[in-house]
Amino acid sequence: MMEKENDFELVEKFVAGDESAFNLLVRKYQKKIYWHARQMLGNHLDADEITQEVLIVLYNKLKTFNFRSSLYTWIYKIVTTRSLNQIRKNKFKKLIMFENDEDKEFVSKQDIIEDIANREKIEMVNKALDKLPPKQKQIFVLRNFDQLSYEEISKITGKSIGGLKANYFHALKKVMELTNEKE
Amino acid sequence: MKKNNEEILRYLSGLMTPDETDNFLNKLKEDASLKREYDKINGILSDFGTIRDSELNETYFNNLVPRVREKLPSYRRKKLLKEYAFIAPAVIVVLLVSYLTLIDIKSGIDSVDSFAGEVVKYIDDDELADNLIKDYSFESVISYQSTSNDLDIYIPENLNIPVNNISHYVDFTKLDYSQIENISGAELEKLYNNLSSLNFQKVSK
Repeated sequence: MMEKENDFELVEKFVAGDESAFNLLVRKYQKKIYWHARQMLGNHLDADEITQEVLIVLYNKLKTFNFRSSLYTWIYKIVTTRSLNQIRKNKFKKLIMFENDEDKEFVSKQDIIEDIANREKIEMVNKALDKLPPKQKQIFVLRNFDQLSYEEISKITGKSIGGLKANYFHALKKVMELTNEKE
Repeated sequence: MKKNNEEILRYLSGLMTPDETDNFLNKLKEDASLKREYDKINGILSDFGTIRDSELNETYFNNLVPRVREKLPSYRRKKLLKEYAFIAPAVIVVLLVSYLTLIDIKSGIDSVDSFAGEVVKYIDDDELADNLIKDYSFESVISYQSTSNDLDIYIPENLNIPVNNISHYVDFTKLDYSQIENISGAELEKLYNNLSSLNFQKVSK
């Protein structure tokens, strides 16, 4: 509740012309945006692109934001939709272009995760997530990494809670199978 | 996948009914192997959750706002371009249609002009030919032609010459008048008489 009020205040200030309010909003949400995009897309370069895009949209659309939903729901809606679009774009790119080892190496070298141990863990998780259909991946990421409830995910995705539960079950099953395969 | 695992995943996904949930929780207390599996799966999932605690390069986040602000003007230009992009195909279609229509009218005018010129060429009496051109300017016919591409609709009916006769001598599609000299003297005279008595104003209406 407190968070919602704080967001409301910041948005009001920004709409009134206080640019520093936007900076504060970015500070508050940038890591959430980045991590969601990062888990959905599996690499830093794409996540960086989506994060910037989302912040630009935020800057341009905040004036029309009416607080019918909470700000973070709205932000998640933007970032998850754009991440899904980016997955589609990447699939299309892979279809028409040949990706060589140098490209893959370049992408994996661009990273902002400092601790090597976690980087390896993330790579392993990404490999498993890559095997999921995009919609299942979306639910899995929102639930496990963003730690959101089904109600919140339903507001973000516009899907029914029953459908989300079924999708999450299938995603979970697949991830566990892949994890067991590796062990 | 083991049956146990399936049950655990159904529980974790929230797919169980309240009764099923109660049963599962009771079973979990009594069944050691189920508990082990449950803890294992839960462990993997919480491990995923800790990924977000990874240490990130803060310089990236410190530079994010300036980078975004730098991109704002170009984003607005792109957005403006996107908003008007849908008009582009419509404009192209309108231009193309206008261009093709103008070409069509021009070729129609050319064909009528050439046909009239060729008819007049084979009239021996120069004075009559000059008068014909002066008195019966083809402009009125041409304006009629601008709405139709079919020569036959205004010439043969008023000249009282069957369509086939003219088509026989003149290939309208190629504007080839080489056969027009084959029109007999009698036919030519009839053509001339009809032309001179023709009320072109009526035709243009």
